Amino acid sequence: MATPSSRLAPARRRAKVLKVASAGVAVAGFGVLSVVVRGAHPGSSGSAHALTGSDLGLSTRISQEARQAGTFFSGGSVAPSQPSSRAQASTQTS
Amino acid sequence: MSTTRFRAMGCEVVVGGATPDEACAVKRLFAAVERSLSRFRPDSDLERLNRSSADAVIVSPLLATALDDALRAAVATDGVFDPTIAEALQTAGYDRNFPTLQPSLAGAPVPAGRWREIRLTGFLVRRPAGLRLDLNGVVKGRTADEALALIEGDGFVSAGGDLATRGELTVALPGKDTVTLRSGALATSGVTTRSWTYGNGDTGHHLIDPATGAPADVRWECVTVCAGNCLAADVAAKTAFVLGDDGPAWLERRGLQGRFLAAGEVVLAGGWPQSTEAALCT
Repeated sequence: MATPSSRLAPARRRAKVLKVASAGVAVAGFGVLSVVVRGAHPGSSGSAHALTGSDLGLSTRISQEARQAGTFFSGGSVAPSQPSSRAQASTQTS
Repeated sequence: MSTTRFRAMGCEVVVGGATPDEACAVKRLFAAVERSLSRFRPDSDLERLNRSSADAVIVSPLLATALDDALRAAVATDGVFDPTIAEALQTAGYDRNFPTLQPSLAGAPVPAGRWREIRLTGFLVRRPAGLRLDLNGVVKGRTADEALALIEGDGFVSAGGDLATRGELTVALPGKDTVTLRSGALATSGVTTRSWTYGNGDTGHHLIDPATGAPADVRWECVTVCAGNCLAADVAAKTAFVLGDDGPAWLERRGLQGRFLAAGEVVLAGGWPQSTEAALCT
């Protein structure tokens, strides 16, 4: 029967390996994304689009709206106009 | 109510109730969106994306927003609204600004339905290279909504068929009819304005049925829909038009009010108020 210390040592080694591997995967993933970003901008040959704070705010809004796709068609309301009322605006055909 | 008028996106834009500074901001907004998202400007963000041979492309915030709108619209309409109809529009003859259109003959229809191949993550667009997009179906409505937000008090923004308002408004509809818009927005889509005649006498128009890739063959001349905002109203009007005789029921299932005009016939859906006046599309 193994002692507690002999079980702890292999567990610590496995944890260390996992930690190093996770960091490596994260770095590699970021690098791949950077390459994609730098190479993919339309009409450019290698310069990445610089993201600004407002860009990031918009991105958040887009994500929020995407989650609301099920409610795309919210309702408005029209009612009969008074016979004497004059049109203030118009909707043309587009 | 004071009004300001200017031309943008191939139509007259009317802004009501805005201060001079607000009206100026609205004009700048329309110009910026048109520069970025026009299918007819080679230097637009949209055309750069359409020309790009990369499968993954970082796009501008404006383009990302419009594409997000279009993809949500495609989901909400089960693909009856489809941003991948650009090739079909071009084949049908709508290949340049409408006033300069000179279609000779329609090419073979190009069915669309490829919107599910598009992935948008933040500003990163992934789609098969060569898949061209058209965002006209969402751009004008969204811009009218955003423009209204630039006006502080009661007012409205009308751009072609799209009308966004804050405050109750009496609105003239195509034909001899008016309606009171109490809340939300109105949009009208139809074939009375953007249609054309080919060299052989056949006619075409810009409301493409994605399933066939050809202009939708329906009896409607135009469809007006009321929704919570212009973006939704415009998408719903186009979808209801393309669905033909199924359009009124489709609107009712979504709780939307709609008005369909055919030759000498008015069909109302979803509780659109009755009118005593005969209405015909003009």
